[in-house]
Amino acid sequence: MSKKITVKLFASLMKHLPVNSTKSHGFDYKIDETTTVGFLIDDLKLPRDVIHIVLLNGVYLDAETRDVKVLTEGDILGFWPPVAGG
Amino acid sequence: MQMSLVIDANKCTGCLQCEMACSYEGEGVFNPTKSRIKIFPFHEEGIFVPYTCTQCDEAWCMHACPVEAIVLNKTTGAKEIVNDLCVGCKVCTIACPFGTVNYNADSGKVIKCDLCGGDPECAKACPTDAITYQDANWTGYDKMKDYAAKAMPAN
Amino acid sequence: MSWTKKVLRINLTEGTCTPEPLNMEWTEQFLGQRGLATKYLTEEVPPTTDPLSPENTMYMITGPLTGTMASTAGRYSVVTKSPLTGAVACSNSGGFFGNEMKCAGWDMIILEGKSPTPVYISINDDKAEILPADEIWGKSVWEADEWLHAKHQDPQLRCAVIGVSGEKGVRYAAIINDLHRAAGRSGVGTVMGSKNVKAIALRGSKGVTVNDPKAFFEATTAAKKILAENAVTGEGLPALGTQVLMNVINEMGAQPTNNYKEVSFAGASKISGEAMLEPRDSDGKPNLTRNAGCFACTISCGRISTINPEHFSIQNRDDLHKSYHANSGGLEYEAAWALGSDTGIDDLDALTYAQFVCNEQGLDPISLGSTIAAAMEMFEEGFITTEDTGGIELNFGNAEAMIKCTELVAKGEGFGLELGQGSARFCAKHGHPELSMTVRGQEFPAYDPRAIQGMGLGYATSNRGACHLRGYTVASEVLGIPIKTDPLETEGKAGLQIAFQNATAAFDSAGICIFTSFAWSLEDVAPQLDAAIEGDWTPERLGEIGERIWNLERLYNEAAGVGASADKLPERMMKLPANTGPAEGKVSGLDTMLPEYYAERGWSPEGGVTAETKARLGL
Repeated sequence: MSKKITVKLFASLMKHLPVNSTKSHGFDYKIDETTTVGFLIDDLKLPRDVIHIVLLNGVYLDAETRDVKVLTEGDILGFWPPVAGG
Repeated sequence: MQMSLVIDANKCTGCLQCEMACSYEGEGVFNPTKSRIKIFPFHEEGIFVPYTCTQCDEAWCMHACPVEAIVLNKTTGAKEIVNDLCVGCKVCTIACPFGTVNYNADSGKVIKCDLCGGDPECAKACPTDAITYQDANWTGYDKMKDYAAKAMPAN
Repeated sequence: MSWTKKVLRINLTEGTCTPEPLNMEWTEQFLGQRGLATKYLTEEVPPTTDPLSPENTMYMITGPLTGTMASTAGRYSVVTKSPLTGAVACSNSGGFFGNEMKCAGWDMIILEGKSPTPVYISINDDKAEILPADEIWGKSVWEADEWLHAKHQDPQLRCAVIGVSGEKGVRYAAIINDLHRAAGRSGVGTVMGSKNVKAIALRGSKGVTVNDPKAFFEATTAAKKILAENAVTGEGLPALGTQVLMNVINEMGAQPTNNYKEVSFAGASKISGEAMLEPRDSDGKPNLTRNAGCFACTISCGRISTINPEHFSIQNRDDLHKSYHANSGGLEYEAAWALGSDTGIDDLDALTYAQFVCNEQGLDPISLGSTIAAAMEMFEEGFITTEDTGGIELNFGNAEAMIKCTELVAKGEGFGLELGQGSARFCAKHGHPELSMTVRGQEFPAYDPRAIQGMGLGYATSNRGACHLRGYTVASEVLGIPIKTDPLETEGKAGLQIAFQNATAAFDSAGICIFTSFAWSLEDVAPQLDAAIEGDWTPERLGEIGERIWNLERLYNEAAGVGASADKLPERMMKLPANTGPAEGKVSGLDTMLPEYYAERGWSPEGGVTAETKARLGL
């Protein structure tokens, strides 16, 4: 049985969203037992050099962990370019 | 090749870097009131418009000057003030339909854009390319290209 | 050069405008702007002074880079004793007022005493006058601004103005310059109003020069290149402004919601920077029209926005200024969270409307939103009723109620004037001080201290009361600038806060915007200063000046009775754990961080500035 997670893209990464999903920022993505964050990034053709903040269920994933972290059912994964404000 | 200042108001953020660069080049001081280029904010429309001398070919200011203190720089196409000749009569400021020649009360002479002798500081200072210095024969190039893109057949 | 070395001292009681030399010795120790004016304050205004009495003094001051071509160099600060906190107040603003002051030949304008009648100050280069303001007293900032331009027949006049709220004693009134840039926090507008001063209208034609032009252009050009090439200052801020943070902070579970009861807001994405770009159904336009820059700013994060023409807030409102039906200064993150998630409101246009009101009427949207949020909780708990609110059903999520409250505070009338006292006074008056999310009486900004631990320490120790702009460790804890630290961890946060606090004090004293610090360090600021003014300016010296300023502010607060005793967070942050997200189950670790902070500051275990530290910093 396939499992799914939610992927959310923000700021300038929104241009990589599938058509018709811009309002919620997010879309469902099917995973299996071995899908890593890194695999997902490449599968969705997200620009690695632009991705700066990755939050898995709200928790920051550093660059090394991204390639090995295996996703599980119901995860919420958010991506941002470098951003700041105040 | 002769060059022109090209202004794209849609890119201007109203930061006045150009006015400071201009006043520094012209007067040696950061002072927007002494700038030959001005940014006009239109608050309700939400737009900032840079405006300066367009270096008319048949320049009203040049023809109006009674002492021939406004001369053509043949290299840049700019109409330049010769300070030693200018008597501060201000007739050129009346003659110019665009208001881009102005009197400088401190010096008793008029000031206007002279394209900085062919290397305009305003264009170099602009952080968003709202002011650029381009081939005078092709100031419409970017706009044409934008519309060409819209007319591009789907592939 | 760069300094004009001249101060304009205006005594409102006597009705005099007197030039005096700038104390250049103090510039060596405190640089300019925030640091230098705080030095003047500590020398001239006793710490026990009633902030709203004629004995309080207000300093409007530029920095050494203000008015030059360095990026963002249009800043000025307003320093005074705050009527909201009783502590030192220092509010920083951009726009085009600071550079105009310098251009007119003044580094600083001092307002002391109190005018017997409403006045405004007119300054045209050397000529300074105190003129009657009867015709604009009682008018909004925007109306007064228009009147001043017409009166002086000068379209290039730059005005800093207070609204009616500032006249009426709302304790978080702001000073608004250039229509929508604000010296916003700690009630600096209230102090101006207490002196019967409605506006300062400036025109300068003298210009600003620098010490070593060649070195200056080299340094500023290199520094601008860094800003342009940095993804945050070169792309993110121009495109989405400060509002880019809404989704980040919400997704990580640090979004203050419903008066800080919760840490995530279901409606966050609807009021985010991204939402401001979405075309709406009514006219096909997005909320955001374009970005705009303050003077000399090559980042240009400012928002120019419109309210949806079909939104209820502006229907049948011919009474409103025409800008409400057109473009004006749009929504910033701090306004959006305070008026939005903290009140449970996910209506982007209602928030844009409220932001316009804050600009037109001179209000700090953070303190305003937070106070309304606290009142909403009081209302839902039954601690206040419609009898108190004048009939307003003040529930979380009620946009009409939020707008009504905003308009009432702007007028400084009835329930509005009560809300205008700030959440600490409001909650205390109604018997529940624990519901006020404040430190030193100033309302929290947009980051939950349970989910971003370093910010809790920052709020507790901030010299002007709870604030994000005194030590923005969010940059490190959330955004990874300059290095990523764990937001849930308390270890190392004392040192991190101190580093941010000291560096920020130096940035705030230089005449530039703190947002440059997303790309610049003091290494990038020092060469620009070194070329602009006399003396040798190194990053190390700037760091030391930052530390000196922090301690100077602290000493003043200690003497004012708001020192270590006020280094506290509300009970909610210390006892009520976050209920969702990564911080679930966590409270603030302030008790662990604070002793480390005192020790690393070189203060006593009780939080007092020690004689050794004073001696080391030359205080």
